[in-house]
Amino acid sequence: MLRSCTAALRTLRALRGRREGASPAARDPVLARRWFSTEKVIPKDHALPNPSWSKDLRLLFDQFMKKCEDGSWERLPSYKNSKLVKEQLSQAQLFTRGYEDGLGFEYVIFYNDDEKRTVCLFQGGPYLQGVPGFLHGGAIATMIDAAVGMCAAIPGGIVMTANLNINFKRISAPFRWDSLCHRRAGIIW
Amino acid sequence: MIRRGLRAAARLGHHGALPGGPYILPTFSLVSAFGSSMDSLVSRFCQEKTDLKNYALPNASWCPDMLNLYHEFLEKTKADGWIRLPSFKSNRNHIQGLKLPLVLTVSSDKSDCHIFTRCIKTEGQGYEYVIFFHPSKKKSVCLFQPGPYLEGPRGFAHGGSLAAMIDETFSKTAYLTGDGLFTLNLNTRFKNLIRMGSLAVLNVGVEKVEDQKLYISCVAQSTDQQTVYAKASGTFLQLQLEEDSSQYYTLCLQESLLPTALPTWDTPQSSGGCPGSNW
Repeated sequence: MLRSCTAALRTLRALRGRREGASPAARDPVLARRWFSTEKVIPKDHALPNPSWSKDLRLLFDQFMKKCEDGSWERLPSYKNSKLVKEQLSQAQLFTRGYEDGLGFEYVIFYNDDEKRTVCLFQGGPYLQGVPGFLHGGAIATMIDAAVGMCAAIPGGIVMTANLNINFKRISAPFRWDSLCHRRAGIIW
Repeated sequence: MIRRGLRAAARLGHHGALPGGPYILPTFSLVSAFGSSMDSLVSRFCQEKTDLKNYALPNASWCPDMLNLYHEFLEKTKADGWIRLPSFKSNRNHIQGLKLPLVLTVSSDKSDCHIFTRCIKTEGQGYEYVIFFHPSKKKSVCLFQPGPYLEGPRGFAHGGSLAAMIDETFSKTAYLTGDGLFTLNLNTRFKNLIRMGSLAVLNVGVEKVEDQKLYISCVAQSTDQQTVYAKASGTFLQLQLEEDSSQYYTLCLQESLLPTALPTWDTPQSSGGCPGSNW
């Protein structure tokens, strides 16, 4: 999906920035000039723990952060908007980041470049309900689409979801998605 | 498989959410021989006398295409057998007087739960939709207008939002047609992107009901039917809800009625007194 490309490009820029030790604005002079002079807009990275995260989610997060220490895994940052500059006309925000902490999608995606694999840790909040007490199948589909899309977009470039086929095995509590790219993605129309 | 989990959980004899595999079902079949009549399901679902806010009504954010088709289908509800489905904040509100089988009851203190497709409250920002259902044809039509909070690619709706809207329409259709409750499979083939603020029409139909599974399909397309956004198919597990006898008992006490028609039941669960909270 093109959204995967957009998200992936943002993530790749952020990853390269972190590796090179520079902030996105410092590397992009045009971007730096457009920031308000009296206000430094630092986009919030939502793929970090907050008080709504359960113990299980934090535990898994810590386990994967340990795996990142040797460089084999990368934590993918996640921002609400596709732009770092305020746009008065656009109210758009990334679908999966449009909720207050703990109410919607709480997730973080880790990527392994050698294995071309992503792992998504996901905790669904009370605004994602389907059958009372359980997560909506569509919310799960959204999360799978996001994680698998990221897996395809980072190595593959521009991708678009052509088919999303989900067999539900059990009704959900917080869970972890493990997706593996089996083949190179291309533009599919 | 969800059904294997259900039977296994019955043997464990728990209730509430189980770690790893929650479900429990007693030994009766998942759907009784007679099931729930469609009329009964529809009448409970479409509560006319309620103070609950119905989100499936026009508002200022609806585009002209959506308004026009809405009124066209509204006319069809008068004579052609179509029913406009109300849409409340939570699925609990749609099935008052019913509950999940005891073993699927999840204790939760989250009274502010929202159904996923009604979680964005600001008009026009998230899911704007209304579902029309035709009982005898076992079909539904969903008019869906995605707002800017559902963005994926810039200016277009996130694929997950369309998958969720399809799943939601499937869910309501499956439930009203034949107690379809849980999604077993959802297969979505995306064809084109939906521009935010434009209308997508989801035509949904039940293909067959077999072996306690309900098979359902959807074509999502533009108003003029020239652009197909996605085709999807789904499978739902049939699971009949139970009468909420605790709520009935409370009502009887309030109305000074003797519950002589009730079979024996366990001690009514108390969970704060909110109707429908004993799920």
